[in-house]
Amino acid sequence: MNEQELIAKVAAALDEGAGRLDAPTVEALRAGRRRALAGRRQEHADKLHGWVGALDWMHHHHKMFWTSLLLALLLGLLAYQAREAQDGMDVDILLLTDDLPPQAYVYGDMGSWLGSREQ
Amino acid sequence: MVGFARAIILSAALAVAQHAAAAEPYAFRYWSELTAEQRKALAPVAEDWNDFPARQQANLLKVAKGFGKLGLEQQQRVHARLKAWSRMTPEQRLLARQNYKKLIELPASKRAQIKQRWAQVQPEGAPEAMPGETP
Repeated sequence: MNEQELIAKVAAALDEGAGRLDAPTVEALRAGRRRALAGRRQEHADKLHGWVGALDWMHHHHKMFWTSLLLALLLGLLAYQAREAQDGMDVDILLLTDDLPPQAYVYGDMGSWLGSREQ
Repeated sequence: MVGFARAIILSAALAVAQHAAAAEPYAFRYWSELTAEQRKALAPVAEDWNDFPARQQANLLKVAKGFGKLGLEQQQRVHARLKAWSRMTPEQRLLARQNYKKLIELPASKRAQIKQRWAQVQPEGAPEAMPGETP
């Protein structure tokens, strides 16, 4: 028996079995299928509703949305600049005024002391 | 509301422009072009200044910018160390900055412990001190 013949036999057996099901069982199966499909549709509709809601909110509050977005970008940029300025300037002058001379951070065992957790 | 949004947009544009200006390549400057304040702060490296690459000059000018805010003792300390600092290789300066940042991130007790440890081994480590460092 080849594969096609086997598939045909299994399908025939299933059809025959389905035909023998009593009416309440068929109805219960049909109701279950309907519920499953309805749940799936609802889930899809909820997702869509969420996106539509967000877009709708943006449409009605677009001034507030863009202002907030620009404000957030501006604050981020300023914070980045401040951080960059701090990194660029202060480290050298702090190093040059530190208790230890700069060579302490280059030569000797400083690197291994800082790298080791067992000091 | 519209006015406020315009102000925000203008501020953002200014910040972006400022950032773009700050990101420009470093410009080489001759010693003679520095201000009196900058020359005072960077006096120990006056002889070498014109040989420094533009990027190193830019970093030193940042030091000069903060120099005026330091106390007299700290200014003297900077002057004592500046020559040796500027004669380090860029890689050594980078390593020093990285190790310094690591150190200051440690708890105070651990920082003190490491500084004490460095002071203890200093007599042996002293010959490795960079040329130009005032003892």
